[in-house]
Amino acid sequence: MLVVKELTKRFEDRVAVDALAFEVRGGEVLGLVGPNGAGKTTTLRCIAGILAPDAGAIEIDGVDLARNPLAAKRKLALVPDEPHLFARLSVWEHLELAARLYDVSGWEPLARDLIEELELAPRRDTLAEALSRGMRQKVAVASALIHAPGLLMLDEPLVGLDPRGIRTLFGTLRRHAGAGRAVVMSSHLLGQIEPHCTRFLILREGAKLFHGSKAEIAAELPAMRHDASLEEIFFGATEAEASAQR
Amino acid sequence: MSHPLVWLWWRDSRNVAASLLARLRQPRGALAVAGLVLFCAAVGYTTQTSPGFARNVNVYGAPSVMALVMLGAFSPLGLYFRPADVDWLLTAPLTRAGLVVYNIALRARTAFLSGLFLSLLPTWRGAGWWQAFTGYTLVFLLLQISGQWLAVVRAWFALHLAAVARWAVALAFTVLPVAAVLIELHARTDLGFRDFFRESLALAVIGAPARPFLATAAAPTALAWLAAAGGSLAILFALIAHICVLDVPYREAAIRHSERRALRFARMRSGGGAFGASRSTVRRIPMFPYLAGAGPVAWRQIQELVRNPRGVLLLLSIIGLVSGASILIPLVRGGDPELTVRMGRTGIFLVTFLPLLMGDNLACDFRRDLDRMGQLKSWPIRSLALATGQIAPAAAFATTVQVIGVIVLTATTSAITRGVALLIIGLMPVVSWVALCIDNLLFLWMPYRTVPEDPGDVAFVGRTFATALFKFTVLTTILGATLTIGGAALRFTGSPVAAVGVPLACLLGACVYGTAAVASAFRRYDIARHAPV
Repeated sequence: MLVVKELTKRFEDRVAVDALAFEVRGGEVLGLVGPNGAGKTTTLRCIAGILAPDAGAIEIDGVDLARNPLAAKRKLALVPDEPHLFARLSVWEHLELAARLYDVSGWEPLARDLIEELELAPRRDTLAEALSRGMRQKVAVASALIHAPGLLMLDEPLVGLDPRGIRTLFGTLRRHAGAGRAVVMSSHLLGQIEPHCTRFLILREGAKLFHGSKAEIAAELPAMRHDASLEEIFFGATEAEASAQR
Repeated sequence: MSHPLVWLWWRDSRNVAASLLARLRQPRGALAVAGLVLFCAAVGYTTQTSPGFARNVNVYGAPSVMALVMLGAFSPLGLYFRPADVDWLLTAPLTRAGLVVYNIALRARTAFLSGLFLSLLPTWRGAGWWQAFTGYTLVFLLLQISGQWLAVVRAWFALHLAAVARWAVALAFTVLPVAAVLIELHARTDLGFRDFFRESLALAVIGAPARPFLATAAAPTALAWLAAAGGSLAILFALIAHICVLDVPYREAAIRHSERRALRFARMRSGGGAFGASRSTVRRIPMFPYLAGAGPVAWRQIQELVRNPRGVLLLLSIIGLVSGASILIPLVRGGDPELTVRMGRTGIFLVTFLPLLMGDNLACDFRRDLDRMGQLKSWPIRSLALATGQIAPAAAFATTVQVIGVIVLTATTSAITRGVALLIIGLMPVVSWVALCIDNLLFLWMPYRTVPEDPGDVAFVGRTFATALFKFTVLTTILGATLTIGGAALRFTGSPVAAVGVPLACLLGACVYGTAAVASAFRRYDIARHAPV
């Protein structure tokens, strides 16, 4: 579903993403983890077509993002870390906007299901400016799902959600991936995403440290138990790399 | 423009209008409208016999508009997309041309409202309302679109030209026109100020692109209006087409601007100014005496102002520019004494009023603490002392700027006598205090953020207009009343001391009453209901 080849992105003299290469297949939920400044958000923005890479290529469901950006964008959705909504559009109008942007016909039944599922129904006609952070996050997720994207990317989606909201979101993502679509999710809440991701991509300073299932990554790390938690693997991976650099 | 963007623009505009109407139905909104209507009626009535701006638009209009266009080259907002636009539209399958046109259409709403507002003022009307409305709307569109165009061109230069070449272009763009005008100003001392504007070749060339726009506003016949409006639209379409074709990575610029703006909001929420973060903790001023709590409150405001003085420096540079122009223009014109006095008086008027009208740039009072009102309310300080501590630093700073400006201009131009200068200097602290009371009262009654959500924020522009007009009217009334009272005191007593003392006492009374009103408004401020989004 997603193929990233030697993706490089620089901001003036700083390399934010350094020759990153990975693939995400349909039905897979990839956890994108790394310390602050590792290049997670920049990677997601490059894949979403917001930032132009300095080198490398991105293919979404076989469509080259650089050559055919409009066709590629129709197959993806990005839920950003800070969900900015149009202050004076209602919850329902955001779903309508998303449907129009991606040219989805007969979207209303799905929209009704999504706002029920994400517990937005009582706020259906509320303007975005009156919504809490968590509610805005849910609106952004619902709108991203309205065109059933082949690739759904979420940048820190758990921030601002209450425990019930987190459980609902993971249920929605599981169903989405279960339908053969790919999900990429970045988060610092390692314990929360661990049970829901099938594979992980650990980044540090824009470069790939490890990519694979938890067991595969643990096997690559010396002295790491095969049943180690994601948090143990994360610290093992990032600190081993830091020690090697020192 | 692709269909979803038309839908979004329309739905957004409709909801903005509905939201504004809903606010107008509330007592505060109705009060604001009543004030605006009263102001327009007062301007219309008092200037009905004056030729006003309409007669001067052909003389001064085009160079002034082009000066504003050139200033737009320094604005970083040309490529700005709202954060929601970045998240929703830049990731969606939309064409670049569609996004550019949408962005311009979003800002066109403010142009439309500004044009409508100016056309309602009788003195700004030339041949008729329709011509004025369309003409001024087109002028505002020119300012917005040219700002975007210049930003895109600047970004294109950054990609394709070396730094030396970019500097050369920037110098040619700014220095050459100014030098041409100065040289011609020096050579044509035979012409009066107005005649110079009418006959100057340099100004004719500089103002040429803006002429069709102003000709639309003053078109005497339908045919002339059609020709001028057609020419203006052709220029606008050419600029838009050029923006669409130039190969510039506008998406990254949009994200950068959005992030900077988000940081700016965050800074303001945490008590910083609108002009960048302070990095210095060195410039520490000594703590003031307690003074019922007003001392520490004032100390905090001044300490933050000292550590982050960019807003102050901006205001000072504007005052410097006004003073410099008032002194230099008569010198370039051969030291004409009449012009020196006229320019000096204009300069004094501006340096006394500008600090009062540009208060949002300082905002070292309640306006800075919008997101900390709860904290202020939790302090064990009486509201009157708190209001005093909040207003005093801004009043002191405004007064300092005004006094420096008046002293410099009086000394260099002799535009007013020393006695009048002393009178102005004596009255300035209290006038500034009253002006800041008005600012803070308006803010506490109808709280707003001192930076707009985006350049197309219609409500922000409308509020800024209405607030400035209201403040100007109240200040003019207060100053008029002060002078009348002073004149009456002089006539009845014949004593210059009474002529100064009586109005000063009245103004001091206004200060006390104003501060008490601000304190009362602060007590009534409800953080759960009044804090804006």
